Amino acid sequence: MEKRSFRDGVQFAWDATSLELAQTCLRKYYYTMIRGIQPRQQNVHLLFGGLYASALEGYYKHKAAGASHEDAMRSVVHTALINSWVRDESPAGGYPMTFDHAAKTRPNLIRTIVWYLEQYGEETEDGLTTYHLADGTPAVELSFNLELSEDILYCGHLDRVSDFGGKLYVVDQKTTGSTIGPYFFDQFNPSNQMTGYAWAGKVILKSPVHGVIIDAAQIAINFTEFGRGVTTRTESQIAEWHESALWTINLARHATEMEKFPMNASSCGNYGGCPFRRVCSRPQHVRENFIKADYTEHNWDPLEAR
Amino acid sequence: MSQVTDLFMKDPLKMTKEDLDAIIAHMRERRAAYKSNPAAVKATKTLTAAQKAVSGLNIELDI
Repeated sequence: MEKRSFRDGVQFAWDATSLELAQTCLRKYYYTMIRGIQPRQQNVHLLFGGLYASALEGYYKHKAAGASHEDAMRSVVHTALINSWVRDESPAGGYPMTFDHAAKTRPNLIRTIVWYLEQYGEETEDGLTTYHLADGTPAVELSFNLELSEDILYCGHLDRVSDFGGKLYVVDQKTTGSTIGPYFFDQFNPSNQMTGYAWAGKVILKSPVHGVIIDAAQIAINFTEFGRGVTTRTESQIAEWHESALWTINLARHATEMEKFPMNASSCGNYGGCPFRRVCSRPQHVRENFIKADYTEHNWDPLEAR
Repeated sequence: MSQVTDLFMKDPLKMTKEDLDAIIAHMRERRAAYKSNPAAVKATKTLTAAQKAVSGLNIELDI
């Protein structure tokens, strides 16, 4: 069945993930978005980061609905424990999810949620306060599908929008194993995800969005350390991103129509290695066997709101 | 096993408010310990799974 974000085999609804894939390597884009496959082994960083971000979003929603700090924390800790539990028919009801990582473990996920909320949960006048939309609802978990051009949609999800010093910022959670410093924050400018947030935030809120606050958590074996960095975008930077994004999208759409997805061999080693390196490094005639053995279906669709 | 380790092995759907509060209290204690002396916590070596397995074997070598 065709994904919702595709029409006649060509993608029309895009997000930062698919844009990044197309910019990195058209073959990687093909395997992920068109073939819809991913390595059987789940990416521990995406799993951990997703559970963590979802817990913090939940906390701010509970708080906005009038829950106390304690009740909101208990609720999101409970949800995180449920979501990291593999349910089965055994008398124990299942078993804890294993993350296969020394620091990103289930207890350390709960530690990181509790420590973050202890540090930042209670909003203060001089800190970050959750922005409220015109109808009074808190600006958390905002999924968007916006027109990037006449026939292209750009989709995404803003974790939270905050008011800081009288200016609006999108807040995005990131987890890392590295020390949080200027070098860590440098990676978010340029960034499709962050510039896309600044562009979308402005359209959704009908008000200028100054940039994105990266709410970073360094996950170590025995501790979690937090740090915040701001990445700002000017109107001209957003316009330049918009033009580049459309260029890449049109290129990928053309490649799809032509059924030609050349490899970008210079990106295979980035970020610890491309997950499709094992396939691309094999002769063409045996690749399908490797795909069958080592990869599984992947249903990433930008139009499926979280 | 400590009480908190037991709780992490318990089906979350069967957890009580007290269970959740015990986990949160434990994490708060660890945070307080870290805040009072970060260097000591950072320096603490945690055994890897392989190291734990070896240390649990209790082998006596008769060489």
